[in-house]
Amino acid sequence: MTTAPRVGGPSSEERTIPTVDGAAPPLRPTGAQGDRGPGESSVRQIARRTAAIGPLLVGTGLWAVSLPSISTDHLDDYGLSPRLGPLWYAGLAVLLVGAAVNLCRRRMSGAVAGGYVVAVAAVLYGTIPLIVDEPRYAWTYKHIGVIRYIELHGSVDWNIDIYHRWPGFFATAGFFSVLGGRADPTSYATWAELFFTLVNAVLIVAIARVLLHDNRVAWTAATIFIVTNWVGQSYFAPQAFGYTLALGLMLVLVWQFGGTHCGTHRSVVGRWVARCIHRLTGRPVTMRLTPTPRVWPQSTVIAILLLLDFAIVASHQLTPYILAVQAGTLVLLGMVRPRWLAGAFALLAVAFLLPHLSYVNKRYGLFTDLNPLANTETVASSAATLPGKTFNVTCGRLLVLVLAVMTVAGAIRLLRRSDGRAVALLLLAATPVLLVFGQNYGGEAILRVVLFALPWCAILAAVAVTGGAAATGGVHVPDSPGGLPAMRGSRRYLRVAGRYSLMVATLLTCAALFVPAYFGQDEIDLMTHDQVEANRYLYEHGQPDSVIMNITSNAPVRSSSNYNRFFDESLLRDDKFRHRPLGTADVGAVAAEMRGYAPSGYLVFAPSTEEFARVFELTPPGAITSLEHAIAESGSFTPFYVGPDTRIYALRQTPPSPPAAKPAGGTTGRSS
Amino acid sequence: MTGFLFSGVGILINVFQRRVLESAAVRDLALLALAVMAGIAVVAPSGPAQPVLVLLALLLLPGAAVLTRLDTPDPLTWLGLAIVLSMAVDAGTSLVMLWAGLWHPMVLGSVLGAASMAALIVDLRLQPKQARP
Repeated sequence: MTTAPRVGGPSSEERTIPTVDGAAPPLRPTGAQGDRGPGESSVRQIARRTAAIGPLLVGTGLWAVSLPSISTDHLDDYGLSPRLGPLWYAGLAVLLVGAAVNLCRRRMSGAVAGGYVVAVAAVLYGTIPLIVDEPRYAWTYKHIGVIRYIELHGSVDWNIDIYHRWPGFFATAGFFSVLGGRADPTSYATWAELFFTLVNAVLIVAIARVLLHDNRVAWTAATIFIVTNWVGQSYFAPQAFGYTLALGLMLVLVWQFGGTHCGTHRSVVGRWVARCIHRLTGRPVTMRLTPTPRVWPQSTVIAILLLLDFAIVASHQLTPYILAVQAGTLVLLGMVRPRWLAGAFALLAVAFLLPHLSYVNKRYGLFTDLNPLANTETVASSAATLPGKTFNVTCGRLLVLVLAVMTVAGAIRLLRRSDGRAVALLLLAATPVLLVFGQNYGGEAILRVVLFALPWCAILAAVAVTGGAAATGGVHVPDSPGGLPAMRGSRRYLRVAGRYSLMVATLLTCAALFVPAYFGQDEIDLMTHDQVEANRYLYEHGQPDSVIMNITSNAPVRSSSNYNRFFDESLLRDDKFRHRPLGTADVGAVAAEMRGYAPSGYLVFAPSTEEFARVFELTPPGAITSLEHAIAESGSFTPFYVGPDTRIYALRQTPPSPPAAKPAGGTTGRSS
Repeated sequence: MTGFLFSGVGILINVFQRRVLESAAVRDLALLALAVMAGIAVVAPSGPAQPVLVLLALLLLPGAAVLTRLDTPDPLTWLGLAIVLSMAVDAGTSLVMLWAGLWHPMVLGSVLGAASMAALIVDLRLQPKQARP
């Protein structure tokens, strides 16, 4: 029997990444090989490992102890961040300081850095799944409904909604739900944010290693990514799925097609950019993405890239276009070959869009607004009149600013060493901005821009705060802390202390801004168990073809497989009910509004919708309570579900005669 | 004593990384074991272990099968690629099943599992010969 060698070279034990002239030094080993210094005693080694792992265990322990005391009841406009408690913050701080110290150590341990990445991600993205029963964000439930529909029918219906036209994520989740014995994704959807964040962190480490060949930069980039990804777009949703696939695609693209066979000398634009940098820095610049040749057969790489792109194209509307633009930018610079690949990505995306073009144009519009300033407005920023909201929004903006400054600093650092990869990374970070020139994406355009820019910003920011080999332009100094050039005496210690301080300050500052920005909307983003149960009950026992009228749109609707049999609307979508007291006089108008959609319907009073109205100041204080009292006492509605914090009233099919208009005595619905 | 404990944890992590992820043979064996356990969990529902085993299998096996013939520079890159390739394979095959009107997740799961196991077994059989000078 003949042997079939693994494509790409020798076994993993023998593998090394070949370097080329002028390129970054070879990848430093992750973990044990780099841990023990020459002549280091076992006792010293144990002490060093204890110092490295100690904060990891202490921080995780503090976080675990803090969890039972975190309450999500009656959150104010500062969201969850004030409720997290001193132990939670202490645990996070200990973990970040430990991570920073490990990242600055002379012999940084990749395994320990990985441990910190997992622990910090668990603290930031795992806290909510551990303290609440139900998935965060109202949108999650809409996605759950599509999955349940697919599980039930085994097909999609393009007429229902846009999700049925881009079903990649939903089909995959349905496949898992059936095999995993969890038909209702509500049971696991809450963990999606932690899962996607961790996979993204792994991919960013891999991309940074491929690009810069520096473990320290790679792990620092992953840590920075975790403490700056405040935009909350990684939950159980198609964009999170597409984003992870897109990172995987970029990894394969830059690693396999950005190697030694490419270079800016092959492109007019690339040559022009190289000349500009040459004039600025006074040195010739090498603009090549990776110093390694392609290791997989070209046909295999193309097949893998097209498979990944197809999965992205069929899962999310926006991601393939950003990906095509990013790939196109690298092709224009001559940093990626073959050229036609970016065109193939764009073609695949457009070909998939064509059958849905009229639907998208009719329902949403391909371009909503050409004014970039208008498109950067978010839903949260429109609620920035409350002090808590102002504070949280400001923290998010500051975090973006801090990251932008670090990104520019990292790019300058690379450019000063004639490293043209800075241009590629900067352009990859900048291209998502194009989105705001045509779409507001339902008030989320700027959040998507941040999301797609983040990996590349994190890598450049990591270059700025580390003294890794990448930042020394290929001058590898093995025995100097953090890659610092050899120095003597106090100057060396000052530089080392400066490096540690910069890393600690960076991570702590980012986390301090991340926490209010990320947890700051939880008074509306968290759904109570009763609210989710009430909606489940409604879809199970409600009359099909009815309208489900919530006070605002922030409700866990469409979470059932038969969601397409109901209309769902929000009362305060109509201006006539906004910004004024509500009460008995409005009952008729509410009933008429509901009958405008269907002869039967259900009016839902739930905490997340009422909180949304309060935070966005859609109604004066007490208006919704007053309306509910009037609804309960009217003869037009009858109680359908009464729970601890959610009430549903069914609209009577025919208006009652005046004598029948008395308070509903007996509850016909379920009480829980 | 605490130092020894911490040291032990660090060593365990390194051993896992070196022995399981870096050694292709051990990795293949571990993935085959995962495939078998996930299969048993699906056939004989086993409570909370079922979604965990199925998730791991769906996230690793198809991608690992693709990567058996392709080299990766380090275990972490292998892990990242195995996950995204698995996600893409799962998405692509689920979509074909959905659009073709043949929604049978159990059948697809069996086909993907069997194909992945076959690729891993072939890779495992080739391992000792590759290691020879």
